[in-house]
Parts: sequence; structure tokens; C-alpha cells
Amino acid sequence: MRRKAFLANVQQILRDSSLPDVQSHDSSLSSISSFDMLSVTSPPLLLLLVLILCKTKSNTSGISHGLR
Amino acid sequence: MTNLTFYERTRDALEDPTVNQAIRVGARRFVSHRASTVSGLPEMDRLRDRARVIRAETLNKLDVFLAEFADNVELNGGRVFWAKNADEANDYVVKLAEARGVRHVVKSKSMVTEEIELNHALEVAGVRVVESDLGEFIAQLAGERPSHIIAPVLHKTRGEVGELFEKELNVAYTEEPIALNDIARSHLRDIFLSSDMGISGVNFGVAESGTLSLVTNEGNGRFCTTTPRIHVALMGMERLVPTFADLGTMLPVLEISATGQRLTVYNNLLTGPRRSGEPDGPEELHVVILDNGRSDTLASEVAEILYCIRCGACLNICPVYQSIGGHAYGSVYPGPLGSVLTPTLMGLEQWHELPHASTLCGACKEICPVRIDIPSLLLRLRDASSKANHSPVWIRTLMRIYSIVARHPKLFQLGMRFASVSSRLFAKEDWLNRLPPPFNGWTDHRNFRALAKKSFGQQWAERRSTEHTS
Repeated sequence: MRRKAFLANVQQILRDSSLPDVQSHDSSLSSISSFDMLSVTSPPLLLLLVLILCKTKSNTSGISHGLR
Repeated sequence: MTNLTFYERTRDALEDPTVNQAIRVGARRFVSHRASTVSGLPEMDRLRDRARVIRAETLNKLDVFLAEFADNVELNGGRVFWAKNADEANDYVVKLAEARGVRHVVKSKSMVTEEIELNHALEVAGVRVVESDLGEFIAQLAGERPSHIIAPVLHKTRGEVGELFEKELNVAYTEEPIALNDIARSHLRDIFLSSDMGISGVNFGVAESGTLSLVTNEGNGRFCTTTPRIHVALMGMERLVPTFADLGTMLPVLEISATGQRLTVYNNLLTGPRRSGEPDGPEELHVVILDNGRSDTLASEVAEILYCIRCGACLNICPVYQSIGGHAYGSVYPGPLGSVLTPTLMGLEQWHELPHASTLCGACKEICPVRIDIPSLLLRLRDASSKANHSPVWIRTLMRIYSIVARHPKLFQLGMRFASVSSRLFAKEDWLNRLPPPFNGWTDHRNFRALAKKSFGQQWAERRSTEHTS
């Protein structure tokens, strides 16, 4: 009985499964839309990154210089 | 799990230089061993591709392979118990121990038993449990949980282990690895011989034969599963391979990825309990197949994490794990793997911080032997967490404000001007050394350039205007 219920549950899930296609493993971050990226990226980091990108006087050398 | 938040545990880990150094050195050693072995194996990429296909095919027909595996375990003389959750699994093992008069249990390393806290359940029932994997043995003596799924005491130095043995086992202090190993070995020998029950995990269950594959480097797994009169093996329901041929692919992929060895020292294949005429082996074999959230994971959009074969390679390569170690995650499954698996198995609401414990650099995906797209799974969990409002109110409020500003160029430009002016209030010689809360987390360890007086857009417009004029 226990076995039957256990396996029936797995069977049911597999019927509606969202397991990735074996061939599609290269779909990486591109599968997430840019809006999703915005909504899930750590907000303080995002805000600062945006501010830095828009307003920083110099390029990445300034950022590396800033590492303590 | 402690009562501290993830951020508090992380802060504590970062402030502990010993942990930091031990983890960094240990994890990088694993990475370099693996890289060295892989460099001599041009077929490794094909093996990984094949391993991924095997995992996908297994999970796509999991119900079929589970039934086949259980049938074969029973045909071989073993018993199978289907456990929906941790309580059912623990209850079965505890009752079995009570029914057979078991007083002493010796254990081989098993993350599933850590997950369900089986040791605690047995100890509450008055059964003494001793871990026999050297790392687990040390962690048990120290009263700690493992900090790594392959190397449980990666966070400890040799000196710390020497001090622990001196205190707990009443032996002379030494930090020589061979001497420490000898101490543990002599201590454990009597325990192997006097235990009534051996408990192990399962690296892979082979469906076509009902065989349990167990890999160790110390030989303790073989002792645990053959010397005591009862062997109980606990297996997550996804840990199957269809055939022996598939096992031939999965084992080298696991072993190379875990420790960089081309072959682990002890590869055990256990098919049923002792048969008549055999000189050793347990009288009884019980296999507990555990769901404990795995079927929910299978139904979720992060089902791919069930491809995981628990090699620990993603932990070793992860810059976050290397910095904070395993205990900061608060879960038995740390690192990138744990940041997906823990919230999925144990609830996103309680574990919503873990998917953020990643820089999304992608190193875990690169090194994963079955090519699990961990960064993508982490993003999906962050998304789910965000939609379920698990983040603090201030973050949600900031994001709402930002989403409005970002959709209105005029507002955005105004915001930039405000940010430029306000950032200069805190700047010293064009550098932001200290920001007020909640941004101070960023400036505690690094400086930022103050925002320019003119935005790129303004500078661009001015330049174009100058060019047109000239």
C-alpha cells in the first residue's frame, strides 16, 4: 500500500513534469527575462551598479583601485 | 540550525580567520586535484554529457526504475521501506533497532541521515550511534555538523583535530595526519566489531539488480555494511541508475569530481544480505527509500537539481563557499547545491536567503559533472521568493520605487542628479568610503568612486553639440 501510494505520487508528478530536456542544458541565464533579472537581483547591488555605470567618471580601473 | 540569521552566520564565519583559511585551502586543493586529473582525461566532457543523459532518463522514468529497484532488492532478500518524510524514515529505523535489541550502531557517511537527523532520533531512543567516516567522527566528537558534503571537517585545521582528540579521546597531542588517523582507527575498530547495526547512505542504487553502490576512501563503508548483523541503507529516491553500464559512467564522473581521484579507494557493490555459504555480510538488509520533499522538487521548476550526484565540486569552486564555509548556510547541504536544494526540500519561506548566497558567476555550472544550470535555478528561486514577498519590506519598497523610476526617463534623470549630489556629500576626494545604512554593507569592505557631476547622457549630448557646432 505504502509502495503503491509512493510510486503513484511519483508517476502523477512525472505526467505533469517540468524536467528540462536533456539537450537543452545550455540554456542558461538567457532563459530568464531581463525583467526577472531586475526583480530578483539583490536591490542594493543593482542600484549601486546602475548608479556607478551611469555616472562614474572613469572605467573599471577606478573600481579595481577602490578595492581595499 | 542555530537561531542566527544567515547574514549573522555569514558575518561570524567571515570574522573567523581559522575557518576562512582552512576552507579556502581545502576547497582549492580539491579544485586543483580535479583539474589535474581532468587535464589527463580528454574523454571527461563526453562522460559528463553521458552522465547528464543518464540522470535525465532516470528521473523521467523514476517511477519505473524505483519499482524495478525495489523488486530486485526484495528478490535478493532485502526489505524495502518507502518513507514519505523524515519522521517516517526515522521511526522505521528506531523501531527496527528496538525490535532487534540493537544497542550500538555504527554509521558510514550519509548526507541523507544528516538531512533527517537520524542520529538524534536513535539517541533519543537510547541507541548509541558512532560515526565511522574520519571526518564525520571528528565532527561528532566536536558536536558539530559537517561543513562539506564530501569533507565534513574541511573547516578544521590539523591542530584543532589534534587538540580535540587529546581532549575527547585522552591521547597525546599530535597534528600528524597519519598519527591522527591511527588514533581514530584504533578507537573505531572495537566499535565496528561490537555494533549490532550498520547504517549507510547509498551513492547509487542499480535498478536492474537491486545493488547498492557505496564509495569511500577509508574502508569504513565496507566495515559498516558487512560486520554488524543488520545493515540499513538510506537512499534519496532520486539516487538511482538504470543499469550497471550506467554505473560505469556515473562512478568515475562522481569520483573525479569529488576528490580528483580517478578511482575512489573502496568501491562497494552490495547486492542483498549474506547468502548461505558466504563468509561475511549482514543477516538482514533494509533499504529505506526517502522522499522528504523530493517529489515536490520533481514537480517544481527547479527539478533539475535532482540530477545532483553529491560530488561537492560546486562547493569547492564557489567563491561564496570558499569565503564563508559550510556552517554559515545553516543547512546540511551547503554551497550552490544547497542553496537550491535546501529551500526546495525544506521550504522557501524559511530558507529564502540561501538563493542569494551566490554571485551568479557560473563556476558551479561549469564544474558540475552533470551540467546542472545552478545559476538559473538560483534565479528562479529568487524570483519565487520575491513574488512570495519573502524579502524585507525595505527591499520590496526600494524595488517598487526603482521599477517606477526606471520606466520614466525624466524621473530617472532626476534621480541620477539627486544621487550625484547626495553621493558627493559622503565623498572624500571623489571616493565613497562609508555609506549610511542600508548601503554600508557595500562600503565596509570596499570603496566606490563618487558619482560624476555630469551623467554619461549629459556628457554625450554636450559632445555631440560641440561636434555639430564645430
